Amino acid sequence: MTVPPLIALIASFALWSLIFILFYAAQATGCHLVGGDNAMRMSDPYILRGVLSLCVAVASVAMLLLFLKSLRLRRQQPQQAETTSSFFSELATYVWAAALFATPFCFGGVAWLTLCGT
Amino acid sequence: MTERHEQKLSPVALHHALEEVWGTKPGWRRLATINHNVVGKRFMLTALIFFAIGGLLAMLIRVQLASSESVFMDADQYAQVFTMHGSIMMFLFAIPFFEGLTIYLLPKLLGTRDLAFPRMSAYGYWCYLFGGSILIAALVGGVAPDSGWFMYTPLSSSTYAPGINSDVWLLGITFVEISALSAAIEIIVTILKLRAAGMSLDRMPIFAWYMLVVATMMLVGFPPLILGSILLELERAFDLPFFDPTHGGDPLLWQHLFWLFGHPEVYIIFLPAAGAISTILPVFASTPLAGYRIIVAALVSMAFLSFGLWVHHMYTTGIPHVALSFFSAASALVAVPTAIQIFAWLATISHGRPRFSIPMLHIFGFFFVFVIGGLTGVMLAMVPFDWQAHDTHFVVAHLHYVLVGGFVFPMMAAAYYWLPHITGRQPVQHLSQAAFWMIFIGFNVTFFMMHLTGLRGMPRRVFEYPRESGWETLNFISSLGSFVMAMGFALLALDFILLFRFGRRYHRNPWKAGTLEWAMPTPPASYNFASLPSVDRRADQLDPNMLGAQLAAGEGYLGFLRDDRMELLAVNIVSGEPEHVVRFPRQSYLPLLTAVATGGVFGSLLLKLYWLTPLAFIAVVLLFLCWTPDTGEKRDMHSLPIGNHVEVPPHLEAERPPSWWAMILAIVADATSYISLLFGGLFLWVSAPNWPPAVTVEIAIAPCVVIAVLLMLSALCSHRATPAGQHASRYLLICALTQAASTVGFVWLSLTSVPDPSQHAVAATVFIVFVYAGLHCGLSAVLGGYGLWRIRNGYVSARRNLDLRISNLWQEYSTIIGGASLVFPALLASLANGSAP
Repeated sequence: MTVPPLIALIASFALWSLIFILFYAAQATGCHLVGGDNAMRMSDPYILRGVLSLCVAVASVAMLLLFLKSLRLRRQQPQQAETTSSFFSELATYVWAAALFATPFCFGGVAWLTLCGT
Repeated sequence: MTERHEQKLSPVALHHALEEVWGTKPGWRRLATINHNVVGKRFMLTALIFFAIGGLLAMLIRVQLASSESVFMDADQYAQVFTMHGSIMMFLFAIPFFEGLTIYLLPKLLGTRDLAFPRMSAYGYWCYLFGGSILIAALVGGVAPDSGWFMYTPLSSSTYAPGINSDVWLLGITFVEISALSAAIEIIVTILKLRAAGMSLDRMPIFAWYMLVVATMMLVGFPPLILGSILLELERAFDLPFFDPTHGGDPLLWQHLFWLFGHPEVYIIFLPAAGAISTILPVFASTPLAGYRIIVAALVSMAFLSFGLWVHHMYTTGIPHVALSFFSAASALVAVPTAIQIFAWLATISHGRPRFSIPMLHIFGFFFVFVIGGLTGVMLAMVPFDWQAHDTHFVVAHLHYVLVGGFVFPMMAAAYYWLPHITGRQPVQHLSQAAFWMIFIGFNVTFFMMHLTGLRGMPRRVFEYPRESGWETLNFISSLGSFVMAMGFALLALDFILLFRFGRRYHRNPWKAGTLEWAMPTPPASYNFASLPSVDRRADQLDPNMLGAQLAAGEGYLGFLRDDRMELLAVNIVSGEPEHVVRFPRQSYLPLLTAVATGGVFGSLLLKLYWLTPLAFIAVVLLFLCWTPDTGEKRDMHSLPIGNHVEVPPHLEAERPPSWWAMILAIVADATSYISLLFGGLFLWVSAPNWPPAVTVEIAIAPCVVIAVLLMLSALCSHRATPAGQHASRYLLICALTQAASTVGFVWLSLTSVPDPSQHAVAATVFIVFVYAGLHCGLSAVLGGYGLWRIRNGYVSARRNLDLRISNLWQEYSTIIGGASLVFPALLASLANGSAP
């Protein structure tokens, strides 16, 4: 199955956006469930931190693997320098690289920052 | 019917024939025009008038703050003035101005004759004009909004703002945003489908890439604001307590919904201006744009990142540190794609041989001002610094450096660059340089001082400050600078007037550009191109002089008139190969009348004439239905010649014409709004005080099951009707009836299953979710009936089943919305009932 080029172009950051929403929701819901209105005054909810940290690691590795796979697929396709497919291939590589970097950069803080306190 | 295309017309005869059909008629019939040239210019002119009003308000602000303990205005007047200044500049100037520029320019850059839905452009313009006029009338009447351009609750709630002021903002801005949403859909569809033949995506002019990204951001960014405005108006009018913490609401929900729009908005404003720079700069540098591909990649990255940092306006609201880190990191990251563009422009200048004309002077102004604004933006993205500078004049300075640097200077460059296109005259440039330097110096004197007053602790939105504060001298200098800047703008306006009156006429392509908008006579004819171009390279490296002569001679596609209809060419989204002919509706007063009726909806809500609202709404739906007969055909055409021995089908017989894509995009916008609503409900459960509620929401299962069955039956019937087979009418009838029954079911659920929605936010949320679903099912019923009418009147055949396919998209979508609306309230109710941790 061929992925439409515009979809391929936005796929990486669409995934990043989904991860963003899920992390934000998981953090907020987790804090609500473990402490509710008292969450801000609670000691560190280490289970929540463990789960979120693991998720960041898994998400980053998954992004890396998807990036490598997409790179391999593109290299297998013979491409000329100035075609539309080469254009999108190059673009998608740039955008994937950006999203790959953005994932641990944006969410890495779950490993050490205050989870529920303000 | 005339079939004039069979004979080859001379260029002059072709011009007259096309002008007869595409041109704006004189007198009152100007109000019926839907031509993008006229609508685009109307948008820009109206936006400039609003800009002048907003600028005048800014001068009042600076007069007030020039001295300590000033009595020029009292607190109430000042609140109205600064609220209206921000609202006008953001909603009535910045967005509409670039919409206007895009409406005018985009079809020309893409090599086509108009936008995809010209009647929607006209409708959008009237909505913008009427909505903006409501705001200005309120200002004149002394009842202008006064809660800040961001309308934070509870300041804007009925408790603290009992007058009509906040209603004016909420309803007026929502009215205006209709034009933004319709423009977003139009721009996306036009870029994807209405390019010149051969213009694959990688050959698009860079401005089109910018606008594709911007329009997509608008499509996703505006619905949360519209939803938030509706929820706040419902709270104010009917006491549904979404933002009232004493009843399970939360003021922070408003901030989330607002900034979910508000931050991408900054990029929505900046990127069109950046697109103009990316178009203009290579022309004056006499070299192609450096890094075309990485700029497009940067745009895509920027679009996503800009949605991931809305909370950076909310660092001081008590959000947990780790959540702040997500947004702080994204805020810092977004500087990278911005910097990529800056460096690409610098590389373009360094590779070429720059000519320093007036547009380049304004681009220099952009570089200087915007880079400073960007750097202070990175400072504010850092949480500890933001905590110190939040709500001070430092932020005011930053946002003006970003918005004036990122929008006003590039737009002035764009004005000098494209005014010759609009007027057919070149600038005389006697006043241009003086105007630029006055604006540039005045701007920096005004706003640089605000960094200092801000760092010295001066809060924003205060109408006076004590003499001993130590802010007076800086404020006085700032006010002096603002008057210099205002005189600069007045000089600029005079320069433009002189250009219109005394500008030098020129032959073609005065800047020696390589883009398609110059491959036509200027000022342009209403149809842009007598025949449509075909391109074989990137569309900023063409030869407009040679191409223009060929196209005027009718050597491109559609160089004739068929059936006295406006026609243009649709292409494959990726490759740009010709796919079908789009046949436009004729000019009509309907966009104006529909906008008037839409104004009736908003006006009745504003004046609290609630009995009138449903009547006006029905009038809007009926008027929209009146748009449709002109878009249909009663015979299959199979294929139509488009010139150069090529034949393609008409859009009604094509698989995915522009209107199909428009429905997809409308659904995306609607789904964003719906998801924002569900997010709001869950947010309140997680964050709002006074949960769990004292009231209990209990949804009966039996009616939900009945509605679910009705919805599925409706979707099934719609699907079966779509091929327009023998029993299509029967299926559509069942579809319309089941959707109508579902509507009744949702109304019944909202009235019986939900306790008084004013008691608690959970009840209000469930109530609104049911109403939302009911409205969608009602609209589906209307579309089902419409399909039936189209079949009965011969507009539909097995080949011409576009109406049914579009209708089916909506039917299936509203089935999903209906299903989710049956599940979500039960989920929220169960969470609410067991939410005590």
